Amino acid sequence: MLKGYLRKDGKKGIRNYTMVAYTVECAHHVAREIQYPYRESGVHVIGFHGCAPNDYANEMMQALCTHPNVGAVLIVSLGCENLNKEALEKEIIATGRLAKTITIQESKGSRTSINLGREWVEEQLQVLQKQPLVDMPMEELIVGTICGGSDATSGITANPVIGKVFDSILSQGATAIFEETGELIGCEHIMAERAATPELAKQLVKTVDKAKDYYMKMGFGSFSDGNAKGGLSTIEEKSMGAYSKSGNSKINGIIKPTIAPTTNGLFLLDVVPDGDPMFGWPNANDNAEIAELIACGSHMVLFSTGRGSVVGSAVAPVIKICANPETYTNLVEDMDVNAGKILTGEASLDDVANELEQCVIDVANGELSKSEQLLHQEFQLAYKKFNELEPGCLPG
Amino acid sequence: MSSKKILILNSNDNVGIVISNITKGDVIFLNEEMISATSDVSFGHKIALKELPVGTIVKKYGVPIGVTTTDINPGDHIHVHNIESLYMKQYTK
Repeated sequence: MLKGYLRKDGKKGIRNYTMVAYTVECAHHVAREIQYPYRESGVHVIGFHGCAPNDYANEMMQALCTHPNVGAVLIVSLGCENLNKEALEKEIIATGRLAKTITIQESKGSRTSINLGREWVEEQLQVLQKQPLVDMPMEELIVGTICGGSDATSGITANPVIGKVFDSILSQGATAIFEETGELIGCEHIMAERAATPELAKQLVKTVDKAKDYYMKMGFGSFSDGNAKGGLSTIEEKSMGAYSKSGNSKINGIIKPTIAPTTNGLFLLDVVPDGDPMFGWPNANDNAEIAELIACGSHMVLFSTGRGSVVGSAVAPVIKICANPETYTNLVEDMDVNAGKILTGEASLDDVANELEQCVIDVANGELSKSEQLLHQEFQLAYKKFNELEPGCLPG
Repeated sequence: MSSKKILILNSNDNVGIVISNITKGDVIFLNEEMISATSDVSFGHKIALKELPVGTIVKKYGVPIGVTTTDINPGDHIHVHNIESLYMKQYTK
């Protein structure tokens, strides 16, 4: 049995964080200054840089500010931006969380806003500290996964290890989310064979086709120069490696950012925008995808890396699984699990999967992952546009 | 010990993954045959296990990962210079 924090909406979190949420880049500095003294006390900064309105950004901010790991939110607004801070505050309060908005243009300015913000954060930390931990069954845990800085080792060590851990926690009733349809190009038909229903099988192929069309219009696939240096030659080769993170379990549904899985089980998160490319690349970097996994309710994210990413995230812990034994040696400070041991013959896939599953349980129970210890609290939210989910994507 | 230099993920594969840096001329023992590396190949990269004429589907994990753009000999380094995606081109510096 895990331990978590019970929220008034009935969901349970594995952290009791306070968010300082800026609603336009113009309020970012003030938000960062408010957070700075508390950055080791579970206070994170998230926000949206844009001033022009965007439904996706509004929904992402709402989903993240009401995430089970979040207990209190301070909204920091400049005052004239378009992000719907009123609806955001209303939504946070409706879920029984502590919330306040500071509008810089109505607060004498930056210094006063910073002081007011710190006072409020200080008070919330006192309140949150008193919140007891409650039992949290495995059935209530949601785990996301991503790979970043992939090389040829990712697909043969760390990613299959994550797949095995997914199969194991899914068999214990947990929910798991994998993503990045642009990195499933080439796997669509074998993936479709795992769909829970024939309708979902069609949607899985369609979702990857959408990603393929989108990337074709952008000119290139989701493939970096570092991928090639690491020995990967084509997008479909990279895809096969990425796909193995999803394990062998049945796929229960497709979700889009901010849509939480509607049942337990395994879900594919479609992060590629709908329609013609409008705001640029589907995701500028890994943290944009991590934020989307979290906005769908992931309590934590398992991050596989071969070349060696060091990022963490705001809102939810990131556990880093290093695929490449050489990279592990070079980045030992940042890596939670060394899956490179599989290549050097020191451990089997099953050994490392057991180690990672224990790490998932420990981190769920409050142990800090390496990126949390190092205060990696990266956050990225860009403009995007999505249509509603099509019929057949969700179970039932 | 040369056999430990590569990993073959699926019996249908026509490439092996280099798991210990290979130097030109190194001999790699497969089940009943042996191949000789025609160039240095670094860790993580792929090496051809057999002759792959231009237009051959390259298989790793037992599935297609691209197509050859030139005639390839056993022991050749397989990478962006001699195979391409069946789906889309990609950016390299």
